[in-house]
Amino acid sequence: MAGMTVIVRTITRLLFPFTFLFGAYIVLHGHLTPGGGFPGGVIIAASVVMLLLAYGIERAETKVSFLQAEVLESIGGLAIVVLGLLSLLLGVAFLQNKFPLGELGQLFSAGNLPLLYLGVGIKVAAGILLIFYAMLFAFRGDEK
Amino acid sequence: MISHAPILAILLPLFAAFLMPVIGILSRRRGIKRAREWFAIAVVLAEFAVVASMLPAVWGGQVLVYQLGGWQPPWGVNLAIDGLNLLVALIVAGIGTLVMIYSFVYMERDTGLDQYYTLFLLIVAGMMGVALTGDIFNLYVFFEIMCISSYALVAFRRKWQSIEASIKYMIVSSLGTSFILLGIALLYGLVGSLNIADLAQKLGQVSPSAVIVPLALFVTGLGIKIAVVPLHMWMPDAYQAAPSAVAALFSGATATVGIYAMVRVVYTLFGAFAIGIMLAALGLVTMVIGALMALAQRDLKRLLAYSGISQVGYVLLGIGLGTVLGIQGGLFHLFNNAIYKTMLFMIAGAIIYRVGTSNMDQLGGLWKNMPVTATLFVVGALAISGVPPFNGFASKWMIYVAGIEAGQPVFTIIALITSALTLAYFLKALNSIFLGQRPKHLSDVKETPLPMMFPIMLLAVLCVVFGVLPQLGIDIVRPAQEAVMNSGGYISAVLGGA
Repeated sequence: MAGMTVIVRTITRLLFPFTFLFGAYIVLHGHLTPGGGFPGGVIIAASVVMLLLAYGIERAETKVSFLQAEVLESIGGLAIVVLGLLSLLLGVAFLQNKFPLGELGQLFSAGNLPLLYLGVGIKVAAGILLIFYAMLFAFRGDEK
Repeated sequence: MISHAPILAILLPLFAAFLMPVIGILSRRRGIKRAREWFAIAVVLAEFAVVASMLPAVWGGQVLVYQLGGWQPPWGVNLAIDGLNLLVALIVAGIGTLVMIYSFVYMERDTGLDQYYTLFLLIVAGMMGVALTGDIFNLYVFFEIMCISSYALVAFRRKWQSIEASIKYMIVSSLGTSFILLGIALLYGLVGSLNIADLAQKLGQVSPSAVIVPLALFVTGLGIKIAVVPLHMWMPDAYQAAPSAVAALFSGATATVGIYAMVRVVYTLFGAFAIGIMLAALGLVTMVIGALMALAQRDLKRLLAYSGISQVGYVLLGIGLGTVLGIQGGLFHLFNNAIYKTMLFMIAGAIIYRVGTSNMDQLGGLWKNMPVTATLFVVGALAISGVPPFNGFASKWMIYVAGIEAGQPVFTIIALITSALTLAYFLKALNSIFLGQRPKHLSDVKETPLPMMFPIMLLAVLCVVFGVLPQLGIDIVRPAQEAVMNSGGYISAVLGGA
């Protein structure tokens, strides 16, 4: 894919950090505000896809390669399972919230929930990016 | 750790599935050969050990209840394991282990094995989830995990035929899951609960006419999943197109899980022992049409797929009769079917591995090249046709007797005739693959490699053991049969006598 005109590229370059930041905000405030891991992950993935459309796949791959996305997706999934297993090690049921709950409304509160949202966010962002890459590569017609 | 065994049984394959891509990348970087394969085998072996660790307690009559996140049922999601759940979990873990060992050599010529093992472990996780969960919505989610991984594995070799089969499977099966989801939604609307035990208790107080629609939706949806005639059209295509190892897993374990869900929903959730006769009638149609279609097939894997449909009919017949002997026979047949159907698909895979085709018109005379494989095929064929002294005879005999005892001698006669048909099409397969004229280009075909032979042999030994000592098999399925008939025990164990 070749990329688009200079107007699109410039606007994308300006928008990208804000979109990404907004996605990160949604993920990190998942336990406080509407949203959470899934919508936040989609927004993060959308910001990268925006770059991909404007600059072409070669440039996008230098930022996040297929392999990196694959590893990130695994890490996101593993993080969720590990958090669940951690509760088992702490001697309570799977995924039971044993971490300090903190104060209502604070960023660092609600025990393992923010960490879970982080795992979901990473998994969803990487997963959607992977789907996008896979569809592009299918048209490129070479490896993977 | 033993008290956490139920959740570990689901988590272990799930965790390993997420880890698999990373292991694949690492093993390529470091040049470690076959790291994925060994890791996958270790995981399924550990899985089997975890399931086996639950055996003593459950066979002792206990219902293991595990509360996720420490939330009490009916509010939280829980896993509840009685004899029936454990029988299914045992079959899933055992078949999963053997097919994984089989894949070690069978899949070695394929690329993209990271994805293969990831999807394989995801299917095992999904099946284990369906088998162990005590929550109806959870059951739906795990069914989806299992099915979506299955669609991808059917299309794994990316030939035109397999992609077509996968899309067909996906469309038909999605229809089935939508029926199940709609049924769950209606039930939730009726009584406001998703816990199976809680639902079962509350549905007793709802007027029966309100329950008919969700029950019909569940039976249809699950009927698609276990390929009851006339909802079976996806299955032969999918089994023929999937790699044989995958087909072996599907026919042995996935079909079992589908039947488990049917029994759990119809008997425990709805307490609808009255529609058993409908299940038995469906089973009869399924077994006859499956056997007749199998007679007409020219491809070994397609023949096995139709034969699988036919065997599911026997299980439904036994379970549908609703008597102690009938349910025992049905569940014993389910257990036996998992053994020999997996074995026969593995043999089909071995032939494809060595010859490159499972089209019976192009095969012949392979007895001279693969004597051990041919012997094992004969064992499997006789077992599935219900010839003594193999395990199929023991369970089919129980179903025949149960049919007569339940006052349905016609059912028994039809089942007997279908058995003869089964023997007929397996003799046809045996004749055209292993006997007869050997085409010239097949003269230097070698025997099945040993790592592939090992799981087949183990299953053949099981066929003989459960045939000679049927009491052993009956002892294994009796806790499951007692669990099917004692839904009150299940409910009070989950809800704590509330």
